[in-house]
Amino acid sequence: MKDKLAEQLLAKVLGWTADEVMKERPRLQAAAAYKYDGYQQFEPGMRFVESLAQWLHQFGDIDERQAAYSFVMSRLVYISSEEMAHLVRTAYPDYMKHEIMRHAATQLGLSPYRIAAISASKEFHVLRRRSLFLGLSDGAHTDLLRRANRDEIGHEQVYPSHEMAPGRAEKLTEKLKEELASPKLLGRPPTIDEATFRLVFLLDDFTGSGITYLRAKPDGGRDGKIATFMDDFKQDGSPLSLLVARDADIYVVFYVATHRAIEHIRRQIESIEAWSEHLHIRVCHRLPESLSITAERDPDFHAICAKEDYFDPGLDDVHGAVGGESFRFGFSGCSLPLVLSHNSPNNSVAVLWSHEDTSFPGLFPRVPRHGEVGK
Amino acid sequence: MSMRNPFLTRYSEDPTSDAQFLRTYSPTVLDALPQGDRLWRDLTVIRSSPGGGKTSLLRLLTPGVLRALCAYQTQDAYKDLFAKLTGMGAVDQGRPVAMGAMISCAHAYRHLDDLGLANGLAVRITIALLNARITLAILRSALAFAGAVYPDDLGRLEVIDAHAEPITGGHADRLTGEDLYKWAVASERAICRTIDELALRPDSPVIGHDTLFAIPLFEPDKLLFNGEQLAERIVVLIDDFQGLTGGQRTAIRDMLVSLRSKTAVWLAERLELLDLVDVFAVGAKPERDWSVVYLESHWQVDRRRFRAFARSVADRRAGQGSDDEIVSFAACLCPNTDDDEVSEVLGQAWTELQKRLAARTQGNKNLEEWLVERRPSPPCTSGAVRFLRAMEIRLDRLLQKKQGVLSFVQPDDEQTGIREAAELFLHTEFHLPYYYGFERLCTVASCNIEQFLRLAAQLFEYVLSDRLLGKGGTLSATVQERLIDEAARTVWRNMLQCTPHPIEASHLLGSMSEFCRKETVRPSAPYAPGVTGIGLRDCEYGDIACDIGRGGGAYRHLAAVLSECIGQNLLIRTRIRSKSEEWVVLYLNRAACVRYSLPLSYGGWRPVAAKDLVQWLRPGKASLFPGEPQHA
Repeated sequence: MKDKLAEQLLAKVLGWTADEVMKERPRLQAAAAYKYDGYQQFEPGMRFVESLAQWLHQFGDIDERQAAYSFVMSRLVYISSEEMAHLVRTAYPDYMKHEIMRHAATQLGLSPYRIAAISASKEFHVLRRRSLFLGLSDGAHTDLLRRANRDEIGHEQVYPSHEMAPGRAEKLTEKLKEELASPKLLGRPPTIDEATFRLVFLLDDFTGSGITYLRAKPDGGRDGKIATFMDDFKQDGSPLSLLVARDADIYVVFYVATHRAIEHIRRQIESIEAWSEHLHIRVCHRLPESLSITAERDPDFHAICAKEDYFDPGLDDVHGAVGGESFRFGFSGCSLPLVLSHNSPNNSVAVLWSHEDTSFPGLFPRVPRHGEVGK
Repeated sequence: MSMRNPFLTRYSEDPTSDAQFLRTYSPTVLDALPQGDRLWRDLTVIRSSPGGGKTSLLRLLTPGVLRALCAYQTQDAYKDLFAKLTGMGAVDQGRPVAMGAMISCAHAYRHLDDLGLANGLAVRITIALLNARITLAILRSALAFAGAVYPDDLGRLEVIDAHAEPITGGHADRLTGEDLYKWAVASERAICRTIDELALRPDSPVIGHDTLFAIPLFEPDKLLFNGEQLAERIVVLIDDFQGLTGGQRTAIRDMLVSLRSKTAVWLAERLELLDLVDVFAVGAKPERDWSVVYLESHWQVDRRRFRAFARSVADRRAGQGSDDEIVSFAACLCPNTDDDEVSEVLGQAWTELQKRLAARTQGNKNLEEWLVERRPSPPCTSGAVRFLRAMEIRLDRLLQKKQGVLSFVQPDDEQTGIREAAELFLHTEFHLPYYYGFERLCTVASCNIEQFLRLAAQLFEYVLSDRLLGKGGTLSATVQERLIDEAARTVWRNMLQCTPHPIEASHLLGSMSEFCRKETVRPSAPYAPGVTGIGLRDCEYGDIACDIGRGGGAYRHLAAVLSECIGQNLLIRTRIRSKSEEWVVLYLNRAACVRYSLPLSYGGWRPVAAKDLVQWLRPGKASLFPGEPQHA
């Protein structure tokens, strides 16, 4: 739809006067150009203003439409691909490198603030080479991480998955031995213990509840990506167990995470004594609790989200059941007003991300990961 | 999508699109430049307050723009500009013949003064940096002019008969583009490193230069591309000259004047940051050694010129912003009040004025007869109401002359000034629209094209909004006035904040505006249509200027604030001869007139003394925006 037609539809849907058009049109155009038109799951040819007009048109009356519009313009949080890329690029120098330096400082017996001395030391360089970077999903953007830090991290330290194939683990070990032996690092062949990765960084882009990463099972065990990794790592003879040192420190690094998710994962880790000493969580950009949509903070929009007319029950499926609640207010009731440029997270309220073929398509329709399409 | 409000885009500084720049450029401003050969051999200094159009004027001569213009020469949108540039000698037989090379003095130069270098060394290093940057700019422009690639094709450029001692150690028959490039890059790098290090190291390769040799080095007959003369004319375009310190500017300007090179130099500087003496001296002595163009003065000599210029700029931008649906911006602004829209107010005004006139003429047979004979009949149109109010002003004037009341004297016929005063009084008393129409919009812009664009942007945004809602007509006078009022206040506030002494400027201009207002709203409108300026005797103005030269005195601070206000176009200066005396009249920027409900026409002013202005600088007088916090 041509932009002009979309704007006309929007003005009609909201009942704007010329003064209101004059005030809102520049804001909308700026927001669309700067961020929202970049949403990757719009249909071909679809742009933000058109999606907004069609979305608002679904609401029953003018008050609801205006409340929804006001919510979008003042409360929506949209992380663009450029912003996510910025977090990826800065994750190593701002967070991971600090951990490596801290460990090196401990080895050297130096205070952590002696950064020049630490970064010039062989201990630091060896430890940096003995750091492994694994992606927990495509969102980890391990390719971008590596390219942005090519002077610090080599190709043989980065792998896009936390599930390691045996052949790959062997190759990584061989390369590690070779480089550690170079004069710049140990200057001699490494011992068996030395030829393992001492630090592991598990990377992912976003978590809203933390549940998919670590959760308790009815039998007392743990499930989720972190649990899968730890189980694999602790299993004798597994590729990971041969690749990673027994006393390795594992850092789970999220580029974006909610306060709730961080607390959940932290509690789960602390509840397992065997993990708590060596498993840590780090977050580049924390989303505060106050971000969530509540009846107190956002009464009008909360009421809209709660309405039956604006939620397709077909969205609730077995995957949503893992969160323990309906998807109406997002997975596990996270109730977020969040959109990520590559795909809306299902932790956000459903009115924002409902699939295109549901009874109430969302403003930024989500492509489901698990193949569920509007039952 | 149509461009996002093109009235808000500043093409002069957008390097990405020469075609867009050309499309919105109006050739009318070229009339301000000196005519004939002088433009291509002398130093031309272009001055204006911010937003006057200096940078756009310089950019016009750059190779990318001229080449784009020649490519589009047959298109209607570009024909008049092409013709003007052909007449100027920048283009000939459909191709560019003048090559402009542009540099900006906005960065780095000023910092050389902070290095604490002794004995004029800072100026010499400034000249060295200028030489390096002019060289690089000319090399870049030369390749662009030739349609070649910079810096890959530098080897195809050469300079013959080169007198450039700092480069070659003396005279050289030939210097290649690559030689010059290497020298200039190394020189610039070394100087910038010196600035970064805040000191000139003993082992530094930086040397100062005594002359701007880069300009005569690249005279048109000496610069060759593939062995042939590249351009018939070369002009070095120096923008943001106010970015230099006073000492740097003086030294370089003297040097440019004495150069006598076949390569022309156009120099653009903002009026605001000129040395105080320069601002006060403007117009006082003829310029023999160089040409000076004051853009605002050019428009003020005949304001119809600015109106034509603004119309041309506005139509181009309106077309761009509406996919060429809107061909005339002025046509979107209703030139008259819609009597139907304001019928209620007109009715109230009509009734009120009839009552007032009847009360004041009661008991005087002559006046009663005059009233009966002259007052307009219904319907109460805006014209009729205006006439009534003008009658009241005439009556006030007559009643003031007491002898006129007793003798049989009829009030004179209407004069234009009284009619406009009547319209203004109706605006303040009954809130009938006054600030509307394209002509008045141009007047509010005070001959500054950027101010015009900022005001027009609001109106254009509303026009687009109206069209989006399916209303295709013109903006009513009421809507125009509301938007112009909002925009003018914002413009005025922003301009004040750009002055180095915004609080004192606010006090001074606020007091001046109040003074003008009091004089304007006197019932008999003695200075119809109203007072919008103050006049200083030429000798007093001279006293103020002297205090700048002395570096002290009673008027030093006043001079600084006045200079800033003139430089920012907050005050518009002109010289008038009145009753055998010379006066310097300072008019308020017309945006202040909107804020203070003053008329827009020039002409009405009142004399004040310099000591009054000194008082007006002080706090305690009303702020320009009543209700805002008072500053101590």
